[in-house]
Amino acid sequence: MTVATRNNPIELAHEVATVLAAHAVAVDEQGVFPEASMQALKRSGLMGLVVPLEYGGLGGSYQTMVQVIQRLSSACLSTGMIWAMHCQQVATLVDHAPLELRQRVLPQIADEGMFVASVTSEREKGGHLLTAYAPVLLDGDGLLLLRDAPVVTGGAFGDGYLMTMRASAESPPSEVVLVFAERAQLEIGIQAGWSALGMRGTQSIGMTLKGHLPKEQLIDPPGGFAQIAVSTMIPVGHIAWAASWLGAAQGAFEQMIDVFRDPKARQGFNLQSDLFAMRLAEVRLQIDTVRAYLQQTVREYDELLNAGGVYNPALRSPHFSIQINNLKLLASDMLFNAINQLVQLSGLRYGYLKNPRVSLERTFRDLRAASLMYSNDRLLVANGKLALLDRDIVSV
Amino acid sequence: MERTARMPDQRFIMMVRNHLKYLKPGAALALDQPLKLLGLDSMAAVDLLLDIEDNYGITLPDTYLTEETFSTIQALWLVVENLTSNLEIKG
Repeated sequence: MTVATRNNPIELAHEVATVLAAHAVAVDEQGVFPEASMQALKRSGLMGLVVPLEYGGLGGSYQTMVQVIQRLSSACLSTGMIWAMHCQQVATLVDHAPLELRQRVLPQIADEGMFVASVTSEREKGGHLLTAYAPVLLDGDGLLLLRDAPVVTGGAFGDGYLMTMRASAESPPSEVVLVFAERAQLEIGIQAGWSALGMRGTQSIGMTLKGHLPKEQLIDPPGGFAQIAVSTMIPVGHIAWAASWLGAAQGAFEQMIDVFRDPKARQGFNLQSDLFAMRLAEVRLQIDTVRAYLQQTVREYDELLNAGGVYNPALRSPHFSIQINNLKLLASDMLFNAINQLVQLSGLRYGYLKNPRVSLERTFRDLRAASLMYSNDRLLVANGKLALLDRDIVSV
Repeated sequence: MERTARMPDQRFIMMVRNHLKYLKPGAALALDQPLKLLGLDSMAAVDLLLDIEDNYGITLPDTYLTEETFSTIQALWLVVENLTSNLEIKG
């Protein structure tokens, strides 16, 4: 590997994507965590993409993160999603962890490829991000932790975990803190498997985590967890999710274009009919719409961060919340629709059957999860209410 | 009549309490207690806003639609009281 390649995340992503593509079918069919693909990501240095240079990472921007997610997800959406969510955790550590914790953990992510899994779901509340029920208990100089989570993406394979916890046994569920733990510090129990329609490689299992941790692993900055959520976790999360779905849709679309451009393969399709052209155009339009909204959102998020950092009050505004939620709503609905229409256009052989040349059938199943992950219903309710507060939508 | 020194009325306090999902029924609620921790997230704040506007026949101007306004009963009452007093004067 040349030095240039070593430092260019996009080139690295292209290289690693070939490994992801090689394992994508087996990962999906067997419903197993993509271990070989994750090993390739760890070897590549990409686990540290959003780790700043000073900690040995690649210091990648969110723009670059989005490009890498798209490339990886076009090869295997499960792996792309696991990596995307890892980036969300790392960005949270970079932005909000106390210095000592950053100095300890970020180099491990960059050098050793530590995979940080996200533990935010809970039986009592489902996926709601801003509350937590299991409390952190103070135990001498440390923290005592017992956490039950019904859905943890890649949970069994985490090298580290970032968990939402209730601040104390006396605190209401709205008083949330983040706790970081390394795998070796925890006793881990796997409670439930993941046998799903799609996103089968994410192995989003149910698990329990138990451990005794030093106090330094508590992340509770000024403004509390709400500050972490609005400034980093929610925007980076929805940007990363949208990028992964977009990459998968783009990948399937490209594969079908290859089919349509192949004179042998395209027999049976009437490419010169207006109907074919119109249907193809509609799919492309939806993919491009999501891409444009994603790019615009990343640009605005970067501008807000550049102008005022993670404490920029504009990040807490209804306007920005609506936009971030819109990105998730738009990407999840529109890309599934686009792929559904592409299935229709591509017919049984390429669209519905497992086909070695085209992963449309898998992409259709995978993208069905998009509107269910942090349910669109919940986000629509939130946006409807917030819209009442955000009357001035002309000027930004 | 002294306008700003008035205490929030019972109706107002009940209205706020109804939107605090983590406040136990009958539990004490101080005027300066942070409402966010008691469950008044931004969604709940919008519902409370609508209740207040319906009950007092007012529309809170956009400049008051801030986290600060909804931070405590005290802060919220100050805004509502000012707006309702203005109505009385105008009426």
